[in-house]
Amino acid sequence: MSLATGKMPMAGKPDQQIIMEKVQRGSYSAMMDGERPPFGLRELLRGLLSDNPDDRWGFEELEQWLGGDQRTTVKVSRGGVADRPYEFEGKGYKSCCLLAEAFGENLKKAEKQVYDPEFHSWLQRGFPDGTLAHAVGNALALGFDSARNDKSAARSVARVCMQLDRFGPIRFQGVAAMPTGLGAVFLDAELRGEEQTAGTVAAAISQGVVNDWFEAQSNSDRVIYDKEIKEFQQISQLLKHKGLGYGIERCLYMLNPSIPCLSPMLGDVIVGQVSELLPELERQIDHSGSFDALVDSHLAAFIASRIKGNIDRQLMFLEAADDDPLKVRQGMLAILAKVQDKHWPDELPALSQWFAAELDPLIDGFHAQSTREKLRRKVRALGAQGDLVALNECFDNEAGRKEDDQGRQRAAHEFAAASREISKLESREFQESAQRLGWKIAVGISNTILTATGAVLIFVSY
Amino acid sequence: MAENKPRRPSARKPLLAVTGFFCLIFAALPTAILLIVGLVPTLAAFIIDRTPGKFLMKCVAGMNVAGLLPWIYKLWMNGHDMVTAMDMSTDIFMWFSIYAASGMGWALFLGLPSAVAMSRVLNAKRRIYVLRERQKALFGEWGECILPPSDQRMLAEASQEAGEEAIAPRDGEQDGGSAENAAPPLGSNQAA
Repeated sequence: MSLATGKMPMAGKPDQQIIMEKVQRGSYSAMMDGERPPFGLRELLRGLLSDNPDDRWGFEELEQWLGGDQRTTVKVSRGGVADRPYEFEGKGYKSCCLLAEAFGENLKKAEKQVYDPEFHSWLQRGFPDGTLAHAVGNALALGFDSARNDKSAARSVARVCMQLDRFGPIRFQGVAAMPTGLGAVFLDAELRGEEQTAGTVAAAISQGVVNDWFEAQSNSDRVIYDKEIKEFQQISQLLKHKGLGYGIERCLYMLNPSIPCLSPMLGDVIVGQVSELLPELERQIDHSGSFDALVDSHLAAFIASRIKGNIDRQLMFLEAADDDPLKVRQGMLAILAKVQDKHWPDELPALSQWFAAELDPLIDGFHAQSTREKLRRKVRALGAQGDLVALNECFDNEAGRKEDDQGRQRAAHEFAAASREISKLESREFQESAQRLGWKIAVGISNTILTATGAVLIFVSY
Repeated sequence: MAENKPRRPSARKPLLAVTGFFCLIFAALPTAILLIVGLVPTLAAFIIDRTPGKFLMKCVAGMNVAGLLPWIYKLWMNGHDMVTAMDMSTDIFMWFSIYAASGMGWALFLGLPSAVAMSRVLNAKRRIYVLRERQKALFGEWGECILPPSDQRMLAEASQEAGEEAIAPRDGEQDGGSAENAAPPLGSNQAA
């Protein structure tokens, strides 16, 4: 276009004005700004700058054009523009896109305006086929039952904006972004420390606003977005959990698959892959001898979103650990063991020894002294080997604990039985029974002698 | 339904015994004379026996009858008449054999229970030692968690007291016993 017109299109204009002009006049008209390109290029530029994605040229059309094939002229799209303006905040809007933008920027006013009969009347008159008015009515009806609270009101406005500007971004509580751009907005907010914006992005996903956007697209577009739809549904589920490894941090790493771990524990070190994490932690522990805080939400979320496989069981354990430092460490060992199992490296002696020392009180949970000693020897050996997986199996030994508990019950039973037997042997009844037995034996001997005498006499008589 | 009423001593038993004895006097007077003379130790034992089950009387009676039987046999073999019965009754050897046998029965009653009791007590002591050793081994392996709850409480209280005692001398810079020295004996709620 610069070659065709001899100047940079829209040079010197602020971004907001460029957007406004593109929306009002169409991209092609706004960028040409009254200039006329050479006839041969007009077709190409209109095709490439078409605002309708269905009409916009792609590689195939470009090849056809280069081959000299005749194509029907791409019309400048003027859809979504009414004949008369709609008044909102003292400004008249003919374009639906601009009105959606204005609604998105002024949520509080828009919440009332979307239910205004005049707005619906403008939709019906401005777009006589009734499709838009019907779609807006449906969008409001979906959220009508619960429209009295702020959350659903904001969602209703977002839905209306989606109907007014189907190809436009999600406009929700002051944030405007395409679904695929939500990750970048989220990251930007996180890096700037804008918690409200980050929370809004998370709310847009968890409250189903992003899903509404996909629903507002045509069926063919929804097929294209199938992967994104599933991904956002998964993120929405993960946002419901508030524990470590879930929540908005998990959302951040899932929406931005290429960003490094932002954990404060790592400081300035960039850890882009989960496989780089353990060597860095090993280096830190080797250097400082201890961690100030082993677990943070970023570290857990980074691992959870990047590791090959599922660590939900370990995360659940970590969530259940609450504020128990020992259990938190055990949970983190389980996660890092999983990382070592799935990634690299095989030997982490400093980290293993640190875990072995920190989790030593867990061994005291076993009742049997011989078991404790055996476990301590094993843990020391594993710590020296640097095998987190084996170390984790050693501590996460439910069968061993069960066996230990059964052994304790058996020992308690045996101890009590021995006490009872000792009491019985030391009792007065036992002494008396011994005497009674002596008497019985004496009577038995006496009767035996009598019987023997009788038998001898009978034998002699015959 | 069976009723567990205490058995009353049969009133017919002494009557039957007296009737049987008088029948014996009329039917076999010489044998009756020997029995009257020879069973005096059994009668004496019956009178003084206070043991439950009359073990003294049973023990003496057995030996007494065993000593008397050869003389009754001799009487029956020599015609079973009054002259022989009277001769035997005045025979010092017969008296000696009957009373010696009864005395042996009495000695058996007095000596055997003590021997049996001593043997059983020795066995019990050995068994108690084995059990205590086993308890020590169990306590060493499993700790106080295998003790009954009452023992655990006592142990905890004793440890607490021992801890306080151990701290007190340190505050006053005095020598004192350690907490370990004040540990309660194993199985302290059991009979010593």
